[in-house]
Amino acid sequence: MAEVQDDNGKMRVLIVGGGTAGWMTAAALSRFLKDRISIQLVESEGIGIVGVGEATLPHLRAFIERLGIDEAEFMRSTKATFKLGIEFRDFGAIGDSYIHPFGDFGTPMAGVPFHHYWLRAREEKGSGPPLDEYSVPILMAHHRRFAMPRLDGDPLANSFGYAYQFDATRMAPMLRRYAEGQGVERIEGRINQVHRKPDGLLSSVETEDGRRFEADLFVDCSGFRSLLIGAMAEDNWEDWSHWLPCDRAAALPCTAPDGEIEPYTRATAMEAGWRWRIPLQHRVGNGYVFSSSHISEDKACADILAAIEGEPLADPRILKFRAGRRKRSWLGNVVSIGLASGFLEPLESTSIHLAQMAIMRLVELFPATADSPIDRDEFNRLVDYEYDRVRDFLILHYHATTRTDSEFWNHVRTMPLPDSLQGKLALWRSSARLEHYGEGLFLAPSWIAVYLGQGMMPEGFDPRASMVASERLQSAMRDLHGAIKHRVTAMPGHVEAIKTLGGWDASE
Amino acid sequence: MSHYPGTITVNGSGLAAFICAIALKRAFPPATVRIFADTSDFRAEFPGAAAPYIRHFHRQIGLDDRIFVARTGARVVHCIEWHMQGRAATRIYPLSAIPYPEGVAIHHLWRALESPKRPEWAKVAAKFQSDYDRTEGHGIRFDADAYLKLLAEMAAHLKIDVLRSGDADPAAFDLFVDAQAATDPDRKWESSATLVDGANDRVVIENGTALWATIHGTTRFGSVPAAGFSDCSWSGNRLRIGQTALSIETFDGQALCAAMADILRAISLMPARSGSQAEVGEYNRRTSAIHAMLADWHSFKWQGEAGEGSRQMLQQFEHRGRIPFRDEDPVSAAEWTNWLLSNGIVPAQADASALSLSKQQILDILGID
Repeated sequence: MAEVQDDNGKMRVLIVGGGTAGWMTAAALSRFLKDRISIQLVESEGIGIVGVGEATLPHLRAFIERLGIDEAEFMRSTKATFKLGIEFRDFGAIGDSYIHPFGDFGTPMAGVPFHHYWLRAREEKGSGPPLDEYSVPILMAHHRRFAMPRLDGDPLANSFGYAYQFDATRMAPMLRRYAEGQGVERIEGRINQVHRKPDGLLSSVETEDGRRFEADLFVDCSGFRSLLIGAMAEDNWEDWSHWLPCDRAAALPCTAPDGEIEPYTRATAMEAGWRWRIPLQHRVGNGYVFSSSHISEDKACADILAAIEGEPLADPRILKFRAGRRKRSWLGNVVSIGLASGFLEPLESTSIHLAQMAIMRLVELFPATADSPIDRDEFNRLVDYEYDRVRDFLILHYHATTRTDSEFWNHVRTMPLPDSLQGKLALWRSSARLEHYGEGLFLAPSWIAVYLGQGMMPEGFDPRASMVASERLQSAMRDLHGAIKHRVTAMPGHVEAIKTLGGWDASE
Repeated sequence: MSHYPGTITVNGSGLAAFICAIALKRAFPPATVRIFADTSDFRAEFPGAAAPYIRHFHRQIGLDDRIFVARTGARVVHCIEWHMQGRAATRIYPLSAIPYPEGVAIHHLWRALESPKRPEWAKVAAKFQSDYDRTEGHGIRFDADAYLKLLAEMAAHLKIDVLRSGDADPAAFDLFVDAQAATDPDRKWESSATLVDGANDRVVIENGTALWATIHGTTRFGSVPAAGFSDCSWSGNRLRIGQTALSIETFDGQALCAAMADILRAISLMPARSGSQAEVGEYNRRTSAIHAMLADWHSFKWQGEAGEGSRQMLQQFEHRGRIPFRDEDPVSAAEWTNWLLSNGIVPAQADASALSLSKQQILDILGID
């Protein structure tokens, strides 16, 4: 059995890497397990933060809340804006756009999801309001308005969630202050060696200046370098680049335009990938995620510079990655979190979420001994589960297209799909049904948004939607449409909502 | 254009046949729904039992709960007394969700106490029941004959024809539902209810035989029943519901409610086009997963052993008191936790969140002197 305590009888945890994932891990472990563990974090100021994940998912709110961090303070510290979804442009076809909202489309009627009634009405009338107009968060996004969801029994007021768009380079320092306040010891240093015990477990890491740091459990947050998990085993990577061929990003910030800030992220399809646009309080984040097999880095940099809607604040920075995940994210006494564990391109803002999910699983399954196969196996099962489902959802964005204008889009449109996604597509195409699962990041409204937004019209719909009289259905849909418009027009503007909360940083 | 099944034939004369026919007629009012039965004298063979899910089903088919209670004498079961040979007798109080006083799961607080101070789990479960648990209990026991008659009246009101098998040709249909009840000569139903008071069930399992006593009657088994299920209960336009699809014990109400959930799931996945197999495939995927987990649950309850699919879950529970998430699990984590703890399976360790509290704090939370 591995040694499991420091001088105070606590298990020693060493986190390697001080980016977003590293300090999120330190903050959470120190918050929830500080009576049981002592935590050191080794990072080097000489290594920059990748800083991807400026756009987030609603789940981050729960993380911030569980740490006890005030929402307004978080927004001020990271110059955050609210996010109601992602606008996708030119994905299904050039000129098309839609928003994947953090919320529902309409409300179910007689137990039947709303989109079936919308499909029926569309079939009967041939036209009518788009599905977007039955979504509170999409209408809020279009009008650049924001109000908090309410849990007061009004189904429309509670039909959406929200996330943040924030400056990722400011999040790590904020969480560092928090974690150090909870007793986490930060060590400046750059790891250049790892040492293993005869049983294969990691015993210590060594910095360039020769210092060695022992621990019982190691958390690898060293990003793409994967300093610890990479040293534990070969052949521990499941490659998904045949489904997700983008392997580079050219990122740069630019100035923010005047006027109301969009409470949503934008993803615009490009010749060999797509570009993001994330509006923050003080600037706009941009990046072109592309396939280096289809265009050069120079061309990608030129294309993103030509596409941004503001003055560039830096030169484009190239990030390299490969889509996939560790076959085992936790090996021996090394747990990998964040980019060291896997990478899925940020098309649906999943980077921080996947790190957050792994961190909370580690808290939940934190072992009593350094080498705990039962906890390790369950952790790996849950991490795999989450990655695999996100993967299928991302692939859908590429596959569901009619674009034929570039080699890249021809490739992704026609590539073989995972079996798990093929089953989902068949079900949707037949009758607009969604494969049901109880846990997983993207649930029914997300899939509906992408299917319909990218032009995958089903051949039929739930037959129960045909059971209501046509006039009654039209009247109900009219009422719902009016109620949503009425609510949204009564909401304040996005910036005003941030200021009212106290989340606006007026210091610069 | 989406099509509904215009002609539906249901084969059977028991509860499953009637609940299928009524649910299908409610979902597709213009459809012609017919029941082909081998008798016109509808009788249930056993006392009626259902999990709390029955109320949801009744709402879906428009059956007023007050009428159901008045007609069937339905009573909520608040406790099950469980006597399994070789184990200490135990009382099981319903716990549909694990409470988290002070942000810590109640069973981890309980586990954090050392043995002499640790109270009987049943007392903790009873104390921390939610209002829902106090209202819904383990479900209800009712007069199954009366329920069958009520459903037959409802079917007649909905213009569902009930035909004797052989009186008409059932060949022409868009959907055929096989809801035949299996018969088991090894079971005996005694209608007397002398063994129990109104609020509890009593189960006795010894020497390979079983007895289940409820307010509405007592059933004896010559042998403890084995579970089984089909992994393809919908094929083409033929759908199997009830005992032809899933064989588990009926007396805790899971079997009836599984049939209710199955027909509602089938309706929610009714193909929009004739011959479409995508929906049928999805139904079979989900239903076989659910049935497999119910069979595991059944095996654990009746044989005291984990089925293949539950071993990993039990390992997790014994290790750290955690029920891992399983997609579609019809038995909630709270139900599993409550059942395992009630049967003396104590996790090896309490969660760290409980260890951060002092023993006195835990005793105060649990309300134990």
